Amino acid sequence: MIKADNISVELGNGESRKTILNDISLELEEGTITVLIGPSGSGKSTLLKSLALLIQPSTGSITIDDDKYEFPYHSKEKIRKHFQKGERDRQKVGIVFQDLHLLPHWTNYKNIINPLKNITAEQKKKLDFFIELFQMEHFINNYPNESSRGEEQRVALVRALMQDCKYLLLDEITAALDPEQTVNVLKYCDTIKKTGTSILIITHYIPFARKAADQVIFLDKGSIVEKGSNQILTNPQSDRLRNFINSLQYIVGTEV
Amino acid sequence: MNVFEILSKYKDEFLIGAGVTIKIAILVWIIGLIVGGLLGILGAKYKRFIGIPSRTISFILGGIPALVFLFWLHYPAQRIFNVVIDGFYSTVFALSVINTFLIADLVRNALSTFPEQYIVSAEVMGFSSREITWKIQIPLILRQIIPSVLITEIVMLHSTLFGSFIAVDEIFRIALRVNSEVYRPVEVFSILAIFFLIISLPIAGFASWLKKRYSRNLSKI
Repeated sequence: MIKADNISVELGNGESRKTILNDISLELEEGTITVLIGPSGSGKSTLLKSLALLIQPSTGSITIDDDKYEFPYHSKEKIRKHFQKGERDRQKVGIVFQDLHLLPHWTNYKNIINPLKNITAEQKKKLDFFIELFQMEHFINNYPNESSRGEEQRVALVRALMQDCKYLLLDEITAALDPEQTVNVLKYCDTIKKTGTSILIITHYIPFARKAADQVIFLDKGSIVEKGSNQILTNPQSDRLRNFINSLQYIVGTEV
Repeated sequence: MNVFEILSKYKDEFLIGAGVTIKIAILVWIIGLIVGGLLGILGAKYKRFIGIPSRTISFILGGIPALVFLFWLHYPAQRIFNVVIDGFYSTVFALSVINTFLIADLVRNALSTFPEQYIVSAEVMGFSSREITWKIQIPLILRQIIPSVLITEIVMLHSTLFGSFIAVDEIFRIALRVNSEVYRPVEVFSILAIFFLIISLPIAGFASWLKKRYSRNLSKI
């Protein structure tokens, strides 16, 4: 389980110091999908990076399985233990960043296989499955700069999926995908959830959240406004969430 | 006398001059690349104690013509230390100092502007610090700086002819001497130009090929 207890994140120095996240507590249970929604600038990406300890909170604590980190953290050392291969060669935490961060000097294929060090027959089979599922045949050997945003998103996602992580943190991975690919990606998330993987996904794709999310968190101005089962999307308790969903639903014509 | 007759008559002199020029260039290249590379790495790591002083010296050096710097090092040094310093060593020293700071600038800039997101991305993929350095930072930085480094080294090769002003018998001085005997400036200086072209063009071509091959536009099309 990944657990955040009362974490706050402040970034910047002196007068420009700003509170990005304020007193956030949440839990990501194994074998669940948590959907994080909220307007732009609400702190969703910062929360995702904080849960992965890429950004260290100013206060509070984060627990990843048996490792608890209290903040402020009194060491200059980066906390990267959970990205190393652990039990059964499985990495604990995997991330797909909103900006993707594919390495520009490797082809898409190498971006996926190089982190695996030695690719096994089983992994090769799995990769072939992803290439077919996400229709990547025609750009798998291109360089990232020769690929479209949607193609890069699929490469970044497959790179993370190939790591076979226990916790998968996905930041707007469907933003540049067509509806068909979006459904493929989200369906696959639903599939791997059943293998015990815990997924935190930032998305504005409310139909998916309604259907597959075990937990929905609505973040606004750095604070959790509403948190609960996917029922909160059908029956929001706060006006802020209702307005937010309605603005998203305006396009498809169904309001709550 | 045509070019071939001049070459044939003064073959030994030209060979000695070319040898001296190449010797100076190789020493300047080796010293500049090793010391400059190290200075650049240390300058990026210890910004305050090495980076800023190195950048300041580089800035000052950039404002002094290479020839003035060479004269300034050669003549006062002999007077201060009351020794006779061979012009060859003064030339190697002066050009090595310039080359060192030029290379240090290139390396330091490449390191300090290296996109942090690639390092974070590699950490997230489980790469160790060692793997990040060797598989990600060094290949990307080399792709970025090699063409500029090669062009700098061509400039250093061309700057070796300043040695002639402090009596170093490099190829330019030999050419001047030959020309004073035969007075065929077009032919003599054509030989000189061809000599520099023979060495510079492959390096420039290699730099251009590397730029095309490795410094592909890594930004979005």
